[in-house]
Amino acid sequence: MAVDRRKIAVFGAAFVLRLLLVCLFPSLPDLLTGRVEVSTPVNSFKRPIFYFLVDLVNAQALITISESGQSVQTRLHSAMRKHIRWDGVSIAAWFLFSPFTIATCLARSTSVFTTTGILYAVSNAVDGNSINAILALGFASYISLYPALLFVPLMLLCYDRQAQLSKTPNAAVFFLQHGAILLGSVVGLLGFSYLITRNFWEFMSATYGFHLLVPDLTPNVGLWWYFFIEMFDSFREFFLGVFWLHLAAYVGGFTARLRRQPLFIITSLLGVFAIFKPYPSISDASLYFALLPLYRHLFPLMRYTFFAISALLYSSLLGPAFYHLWIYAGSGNANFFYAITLVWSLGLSILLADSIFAALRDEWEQAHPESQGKEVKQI
Amino acid sequence: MTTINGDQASPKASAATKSSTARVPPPETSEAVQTRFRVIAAFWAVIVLLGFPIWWKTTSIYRAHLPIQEMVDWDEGKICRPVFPLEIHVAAPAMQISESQHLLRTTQHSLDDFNEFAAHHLRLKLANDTSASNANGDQTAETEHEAAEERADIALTVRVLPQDDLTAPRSEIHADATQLDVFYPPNQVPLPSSSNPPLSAFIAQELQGLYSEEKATIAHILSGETAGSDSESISRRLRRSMKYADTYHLSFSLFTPGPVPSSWDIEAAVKEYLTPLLDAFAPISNFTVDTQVQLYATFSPMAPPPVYDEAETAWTLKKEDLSAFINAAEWPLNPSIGSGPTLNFVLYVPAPSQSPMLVKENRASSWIVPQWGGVSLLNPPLSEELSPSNPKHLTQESLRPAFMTFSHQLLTLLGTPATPSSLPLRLQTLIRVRAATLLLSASSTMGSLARLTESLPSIPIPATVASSVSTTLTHLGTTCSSLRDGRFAAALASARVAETEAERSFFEKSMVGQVYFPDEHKVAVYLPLLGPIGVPLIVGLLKEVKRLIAGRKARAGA
Repeated sequence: MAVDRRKIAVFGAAFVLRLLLVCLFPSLPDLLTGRVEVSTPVNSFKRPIFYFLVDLVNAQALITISESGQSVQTRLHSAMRKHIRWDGVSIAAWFLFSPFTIATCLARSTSVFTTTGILYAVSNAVDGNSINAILALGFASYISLYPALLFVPLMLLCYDRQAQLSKTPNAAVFFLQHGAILLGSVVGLLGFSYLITRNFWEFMSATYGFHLLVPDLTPNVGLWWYFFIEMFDSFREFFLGVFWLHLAAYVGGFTARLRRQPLFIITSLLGVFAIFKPYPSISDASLYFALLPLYRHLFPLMRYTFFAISALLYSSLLGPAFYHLWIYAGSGNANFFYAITLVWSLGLSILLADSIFAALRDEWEQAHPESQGKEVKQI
Repeated sequence: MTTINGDQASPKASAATKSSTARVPPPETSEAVQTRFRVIAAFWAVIVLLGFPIWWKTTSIYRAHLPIQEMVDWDEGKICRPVFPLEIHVAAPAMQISESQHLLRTTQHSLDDFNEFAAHHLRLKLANDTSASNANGDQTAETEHEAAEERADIALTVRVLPQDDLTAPRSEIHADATQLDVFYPPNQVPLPSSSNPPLSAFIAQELQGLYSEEKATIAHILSGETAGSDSESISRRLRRSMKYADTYHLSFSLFTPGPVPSSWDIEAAVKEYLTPLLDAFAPISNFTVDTQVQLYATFSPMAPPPVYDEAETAWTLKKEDLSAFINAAEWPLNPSIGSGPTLNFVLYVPAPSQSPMLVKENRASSWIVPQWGGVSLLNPPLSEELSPSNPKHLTQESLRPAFMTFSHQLLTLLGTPATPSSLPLRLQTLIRVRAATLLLSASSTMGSLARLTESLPSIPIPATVASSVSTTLTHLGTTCSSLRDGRFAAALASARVAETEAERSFFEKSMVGQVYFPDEHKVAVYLPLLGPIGVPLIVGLLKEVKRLIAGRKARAGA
């Protein structure tokens, strides 16, 4: 009961905070909608209250994920410091009161729907509802394309949960079955789109073609726009391929290395997407920051948290200022903003690399209990 | 990359540290070794299975096939020798058929005797010949129409008419039609026995005179720049005229140093004085027109001011100072608006204190600026209320002399020959001259493109270039055969298409961009990003391969 009251308090406060922000600063949503850090060509849409509710729904999914305990105890791995953890409501509060989440919500960015799809895929997976998980992932992939890369780690998570909860399924059959469901759900949604738009190829090129070919180089917090502005036209296609492959290549490596912690693979991949996807915004970062506290027990093992957090704060504050100097005041140039987006990506990369290091250290300590707490040296 | 580099120590490294330090890392489990192998394999699988195909597909250079030999042959003039057979109809209504046929034969004979430039020749035909054949045959209207399409353009109609009070033949050319009237004393009807009657000689001489300038111009163009006897004046005229363009932009500007005149009936003036001329030019070029009024337009401080001439009672400009008349720094005369080249026509109304203004040497009030436009000085009657002042408004009627001048300047700037006096004939000449110019220029563009693609094997040739080239070659062929058949308007139409397509293929963006892109630059394109990504991947792969080989050797040894 006590937990429930806390939960109601957190959810209520989060809702009221958003409402207050909108009422006290009526121009805030429009201001945020126009910010390049938040709004990219692929995620602008309108209507606030609905977005408040979507945020609360996302927080609920986070609570489910947290309460399953998958972050500390998986089928093949058990964390060394599992006593250091936050409960579901704290993690939901961390998500709901994160300024990045609030900004995304008030800006009415459609990225939150992708976030919902991904969080529900994960929360259903930890509950063992693999079919629902795949359908949610299909929804997210249909909206934003890149979540399809999460298929393999999500399948590992579903597979592990199924093996834990009932009986070990046949791996090949399990993967093929769910792959078919994912394909079917995406094709079904595309079929609906076709019924509505009636012009399939124009629809495809305007949506997925846009994601894949990156024709709009409006500045955002990502790394693509500046690179492709500078790139020679004849090499554009090649480097589009390189950038997409770079993004996709992490899936295999992470999956192989972190096989024992599938939820951590998903978390880390979301971090990779927040840095390297074609049109990233702070909503992608907010999703990564929402899942990272699930690994509270890894924080003591991380080494560069101060530097990473400083870089992120520094760039969050200076980014809008430099953008203003460049676009409105005219006293700066594109390099001001671009440099800040580099710092932002650097901060995220350090956080990501450091958390992966901590996870590997955790696994190492489990294999070598005698060296727990000792200084490690990378050779 | 973190997963690879952040991995634990490799067997070799651990062996190295074993000897040097006391603290020994525990040996790697076989599971960890396998995991590392899988990680490296996962990255390399993406690179090999997806990366290399994408690299191959996106950076391979597409070179469409071009008919190089044919393009070079066009350039070298091996395929087409342009000829200009002009069909001239002769009508002699007062003569017997046999008499007129004799006249035709003898005139043609003396024409051929005169002509030393074979590419350009005049073919005489009796005007009633074709109508007679049409009347005899029972053709339908459609086939008649088709026949008209196939028939050569009639360059000129010569009407041979008797006139009683003449002692020698005389001729009269119509200024607004392609017609030459030749009047002869009735007693000079050529006898069938005479081989060179005076009337034939006269007609031949007249025709020769009409087409002498055109013949010289075409000879000059076809021979390149080699100097001939009278090519000095022709090359001077060609130098003054603009390069051919599909569309010209005409800009009419009224400049005055004071506040008035501040308006002019330019729209009506253009419509009345210029539009008929531009319509007549339709088969050759298109035109767009814009106008402006600029008040308080002062001379450049560098330009010598006009001088008052007592004898002329006028302000005069020296001929050698005319080049400084246009104040290029301050007068807003755009060099080019839109796609085509701009022809500027400046109407200058001098200040009342400097009116009237003339050119000193010849009392002229206008001059041409070669390849740029024309200037006309307009000295309107001053109104004498308090002090002499220019009128506030220039009426259509007062613009008339200026626009007559501008029309003349326009004709010159577009390369129209000065003779004969009939405008339709001059325009026809221009059609033939332009067809010849475009045929040569498109052919030479083809040759340049062929040589360019041969000499730079690394530039891509998009499919659009190949299709432009084939369109160009087709239209060059059509131009050549149309010229041979004497259908010059059709020839110019094809030549215009050929020229446009040839230019498009030569200046194709994706091709030109690559011309100055040497292979060394590719290092600069690839390395900054792929270098940092590639080094850990390659080092990881090498270590893994080394480990596998070492493992195999150890197993073989055991």
